Amino acid sequence: MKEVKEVLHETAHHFDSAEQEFDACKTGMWIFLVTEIMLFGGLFVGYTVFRNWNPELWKLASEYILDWKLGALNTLVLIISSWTMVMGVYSAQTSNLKALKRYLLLTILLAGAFMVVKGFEYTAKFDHHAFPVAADYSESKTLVIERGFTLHSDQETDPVKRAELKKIEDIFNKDTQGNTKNLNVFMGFYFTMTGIHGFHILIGMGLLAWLYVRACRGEFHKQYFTPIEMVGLYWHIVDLIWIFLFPLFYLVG
Amino acid sequence: MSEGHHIIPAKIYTRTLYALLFLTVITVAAAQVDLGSPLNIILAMIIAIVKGSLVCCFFMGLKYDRPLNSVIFACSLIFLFCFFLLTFADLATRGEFDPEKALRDPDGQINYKEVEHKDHNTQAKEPDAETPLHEEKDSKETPK
Repeated sequence: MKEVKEVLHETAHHFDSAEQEFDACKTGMWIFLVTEIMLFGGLFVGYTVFRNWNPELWKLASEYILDWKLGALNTLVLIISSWTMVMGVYSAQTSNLKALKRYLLLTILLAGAFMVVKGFEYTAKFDHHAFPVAADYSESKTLVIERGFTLHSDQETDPVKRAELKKIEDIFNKDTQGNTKNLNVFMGFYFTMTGIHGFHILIGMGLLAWLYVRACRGEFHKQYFTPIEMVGLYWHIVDLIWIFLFPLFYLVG
Repeated sequence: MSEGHHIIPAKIYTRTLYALLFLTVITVAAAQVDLGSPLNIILAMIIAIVKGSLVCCFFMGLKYDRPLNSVIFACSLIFLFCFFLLTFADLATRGEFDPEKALRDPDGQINYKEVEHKDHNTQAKEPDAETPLHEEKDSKETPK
């Protein structure tokens, strides 16, 4: 591999020193991250309100519609990608260009893996007609049936199974007052929150690719690694949000 | 910039990774045990908060960073808490709403147009009630 020459970074003229420039960047980044927390915070408040109103729906939907194994897999993928990201930052801080490029590439790959798993999950939801819009009664029946039941509750002969299936049908289609079709409420929150999160992952992949190109040019070394550190912070906040999304959607029923 | 800038040792990152992976396993395992509705959620949230704190302190370096950044971050959490608090103060102090009552006409008749899917199986007894298309389709399919 040919040696890449380190490109010196010139501190912008309005800063006294490189250190001041770095600190200003970092504080600015944190202020941006606060806006991200506010964006998802609003969604989490909405989630809590609607979950409070439909506790049984939430329990059944997370049990029957979401696959916690895929969610757990994605959690592991994202946590490991957060580690490869910090190792990238560390490599830049110690001027280890080769390791920096390797870790950046690994992070992009893990982010891609996350999106692929997400893609499989979304496809399964669409196949089961679990849409964020009001689902047709008969179609959400199909969805329940595919997850372990063979017949409509009307046609089920085993009385125990029939009662259970009837209960599930009722909860998926009626709210606590018993008069609204509401599986779409859960799916709405699921698609909105994981969708916006997934969009952040895609943006992160773009930023990481940009860092990789710049790293190849030798722009990052122990004298200058601000962009690596900033994208790292962004990447961790995306991981942080997933740490909360995962138990709230996949585990807690 | 390298002078005076704290470089967090790689060992700390690796330990944080192990802790996060471990906590993920714990949270998944805890969810398989039914501890009762509120306890499961509280436990999962406590683990998530611990994981989040690890990410913030070590991966994001707040522990070694200038306090200003921690203050900014803490402010966002305080405001988020206010958001939750005010929303639930509102919800907790609302009066009861009975849609059964709300949907009845002044003479006490239930307006079937609005509650059609509630009495899904009994609405056939009301031949005059207006029935939406998909209901008809559905009731025809059921006998098959």
